[in-house]
Amino acid sequence: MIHNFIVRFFLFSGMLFFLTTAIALIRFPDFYSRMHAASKCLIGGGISILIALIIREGPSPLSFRLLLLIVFLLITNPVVGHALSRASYHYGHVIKMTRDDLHERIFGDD
Amino acid sequence: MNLELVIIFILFCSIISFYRLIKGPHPLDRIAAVSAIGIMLLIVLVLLGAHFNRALFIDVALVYGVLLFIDVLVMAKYFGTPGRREEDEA
Repeated sequence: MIHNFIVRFFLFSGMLFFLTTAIALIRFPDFYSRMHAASKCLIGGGISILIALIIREGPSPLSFRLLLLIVFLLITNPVVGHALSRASYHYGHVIKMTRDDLHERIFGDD
Repeated sequence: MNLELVIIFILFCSIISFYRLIKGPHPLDRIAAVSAIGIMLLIVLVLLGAHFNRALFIDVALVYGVLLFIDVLVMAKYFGTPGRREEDEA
């Protein structure tokens, strides 16, 4: 019984994370806040659903591949988030920040 | 187990984030939306594999994840060059 409950819990939390990603992508005003929310909740949802499948599967070569997928997602998504935010900043998409040290190094003014 | 419910819900979430793909004022917003939808569909692929008890889907999902990762990096690199803004405005 407990086995079922854990799997249901992880599936539900994964769905919740994906819902927050979808809402964050729509509601947030500018690019950086969207990236801030999307890159984290995406991974939270993905990993919790994969954990649910691993628990449901039990120890088997298939669950090892799911573990590999989790490690892969953990490694790649921060890199993607960083690359997109850096690209947006270098493109010149600068928002008003209280403190911005990178500005003069990139755009070489002030 | 109600895997179908989870699959339908994640597809619903990806349709919602599809809105940002259409409206995104800047191509980088669109890339972020594509990356979000891509990973959601990756999870849907894994869930379908679990639902139909086909172990092959997990390998397909792995390769799809790698390609998605490389794809978004290349797009970010293309849009990240500082000269891009003047070119677009010109």
